[in-house]
Amino acid sequence: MTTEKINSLKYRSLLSEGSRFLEERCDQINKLNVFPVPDGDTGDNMLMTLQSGLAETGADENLPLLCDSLSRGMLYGARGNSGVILSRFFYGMNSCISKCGDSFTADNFIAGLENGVSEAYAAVSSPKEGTILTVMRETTDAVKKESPADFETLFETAHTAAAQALKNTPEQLEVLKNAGVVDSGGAGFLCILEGMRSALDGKNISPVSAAKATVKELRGDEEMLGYCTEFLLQKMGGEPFSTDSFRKFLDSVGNSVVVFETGNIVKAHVHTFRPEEVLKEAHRFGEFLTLKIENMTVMHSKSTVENEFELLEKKNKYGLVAVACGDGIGKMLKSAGYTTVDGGRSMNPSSQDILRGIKQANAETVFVFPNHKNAFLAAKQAGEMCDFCKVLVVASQDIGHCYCAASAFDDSLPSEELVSRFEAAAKAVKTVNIAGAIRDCTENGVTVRKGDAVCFDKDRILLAENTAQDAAVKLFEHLDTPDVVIILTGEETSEGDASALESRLEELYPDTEFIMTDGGQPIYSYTLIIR
Amino acid sequence: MLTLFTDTDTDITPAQAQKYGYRLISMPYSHGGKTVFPYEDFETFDAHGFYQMLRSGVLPTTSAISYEKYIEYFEPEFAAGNDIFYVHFSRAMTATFDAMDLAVKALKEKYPDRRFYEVDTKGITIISLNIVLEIGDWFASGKTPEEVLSLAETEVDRFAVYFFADDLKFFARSGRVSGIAGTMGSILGIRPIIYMDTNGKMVSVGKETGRNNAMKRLLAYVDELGDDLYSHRVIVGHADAPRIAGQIVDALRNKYGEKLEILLADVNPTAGSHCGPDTVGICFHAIHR
Repeated sequence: MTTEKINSLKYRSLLSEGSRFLEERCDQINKLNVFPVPDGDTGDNMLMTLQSGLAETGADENLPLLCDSLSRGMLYGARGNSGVILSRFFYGMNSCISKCGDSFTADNFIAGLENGVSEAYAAVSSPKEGTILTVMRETTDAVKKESPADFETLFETAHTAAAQALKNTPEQLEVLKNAGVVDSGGAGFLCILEGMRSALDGKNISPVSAAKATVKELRGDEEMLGYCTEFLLQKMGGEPFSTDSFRKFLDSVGNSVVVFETGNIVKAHVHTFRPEEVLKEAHRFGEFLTLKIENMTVMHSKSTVENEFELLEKKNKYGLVAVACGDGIGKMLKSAGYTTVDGGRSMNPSSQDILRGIKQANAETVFVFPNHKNAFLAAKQAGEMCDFCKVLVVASQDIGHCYCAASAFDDSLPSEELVSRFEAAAKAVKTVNIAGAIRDCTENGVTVRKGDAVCFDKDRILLAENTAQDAAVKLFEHLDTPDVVIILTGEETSEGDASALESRLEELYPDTEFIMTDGGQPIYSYTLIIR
Repeated sequence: MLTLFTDTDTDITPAQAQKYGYRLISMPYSHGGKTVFPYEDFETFDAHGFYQMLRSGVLPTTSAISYEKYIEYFEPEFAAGNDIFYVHFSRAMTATFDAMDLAVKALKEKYPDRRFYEVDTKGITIISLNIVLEIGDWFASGKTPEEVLSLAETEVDRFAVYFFADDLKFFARSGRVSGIAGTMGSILGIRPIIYMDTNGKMVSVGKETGRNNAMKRLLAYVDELGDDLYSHRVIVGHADAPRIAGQIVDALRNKYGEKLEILLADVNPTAGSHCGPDTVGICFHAIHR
């Protein structure tokens, strides 16, 4: 039997399965990184984007409602470039199939794919081939050519075409070829298609409730206050435990309920005014492994007070928002006048995170510094979604540029001139990262062995040495003597190594001012901001 | 008899004060619930220890001394039949002189024959120190209080001071520098250049990237504005930054030779609480401030 129509319930289950497949392959996708350092996270970003979409949906929504919820959730939760592209793709597709009544046909779906592809291309200012965009486009072209009437054939064709397109990506993009990897976003897209195909037989319906809680928390739109109560419980063979009856109990004392069990472990989450009853009930079945109770009423009234102040407070003319990663870097940017948005381990905040930062900056015009190519589209999307102030996204590619741009700030200048000044400030600064290599490679004439300290800027590998300190010293042999170098030490860099490096550099370059400060950034042993 | 007074905000040490015959008024700072009066609560200023404390995150506050405290300083002099000549730090930077004015007014009613002279150095730390020492010289050469007052009238504005701070957060907190309002915050390696104007206030006149460029700019001011340098002292002050101060001294020596009288001074802890560690400045005799 073939599937000729898909209704809202089925569509949701297809996507849930797509999400599950993606989750299973997430680590593999993260590793498809063009630089041989462990900062890839395309898999995580695409997964979080898709989960944010699913979390917005309800099981009983009709097709138009489901499409709307999916699109909204994905657009808000989009992280990283691939996440943003994916969110736009589904937005395009959903706006097409939402017009089909209760269910959609293969033809409708193909039209949706086409619309999705044009939306996805439109999301990127200069689309490159050999990326997720190519995989999406070639997949769509193949199914359009075939024009099957049933979804089994459609997904079969789509899967074959996507796999072939992905395989070709290194031929289209030199960086992929040099790194010996296929495009990570394309790989994520293929996983989603695989999952959707496998769900067609109707056997696989993935639970989405866990993701739902996560995203609800993220959006902060809880219906009720009280105590956010969350725990992991190890069942100890006491009274027999049933997920269903425990969920019913939690529903009776609160809301935002999530319960699921894996083996002997139960994870539960509830918002309740009576956390003591929850603990007492749960304790009947086993022992707590972790336990967290937060008073949301206090947290909420604090934010209400802050909001009232915000209303009373006059908006500033200008605000600066920066995506940052690492406690030290965050502090440094704050003292330079920025409102910071946590980019996570690899600089991938969601559009919603950035929007929150824009709100916090409380200004008539807010300049957003994405500070990483990963965050640029999410920043742009946040700017488009913002309806309470003017948002200008500065094409800042790294922390150094952003930090030094603040010195070009002058609130007496018009906003457009400031953007030019910020972008000009980038020319006076170079940011270089040093991290440990996770595989052998040769790029830009530099031979890197696994375990080497690799020194690279936003475009290319500059050199590799045995230690991060040696790499930093070597770097300066290639540069004109700078005026100032800010050396941000990573979360795992030892104080001894850092101060030995500082002494070496000061001795070698007495005319340069070296400022060593704790950046707390992950992955990079050192980030050097060179002026 | 005439008794000279100055205060610890001028960076003067007890040894220098003794040499020129100044009595010291101690301007306090507080941290951790304790108020410290320089050279009353300690004999020698441990600049390194103090600024290390600031580097570790302690932010001391400063406070005006009281009416009673001024009475304690001044009354014994009036009672002994001495007049007072007080060379002090800038009135524009503090409210403490309101208390002093009241104390002096009350004392003059009680001792109507006594005279109270004052010179406002319209500055703090090394610029005040340069003027205090200059005035000490004038008295030593036999000038009368009236002659000194008249000379000070023009000469106070002929001492210029330019300096840069390492971290704007101290200045931002004290709110005592104008011209930095249009910027957002403090940026490592970017040094605002600040000078003291003829109203006795600190004004930012631009910024430099890197300490070397900032030092060069200070030296360029000496070059551009310096006047009759060899007849006056050049004072290099620093808040626990002996290496940078040493480099400035070397650069001055290279350019102006051994004849130039250069003094090194530690920025006193009370002013240092407002400028923070690693602030460095030069004070010199100039065509104007």
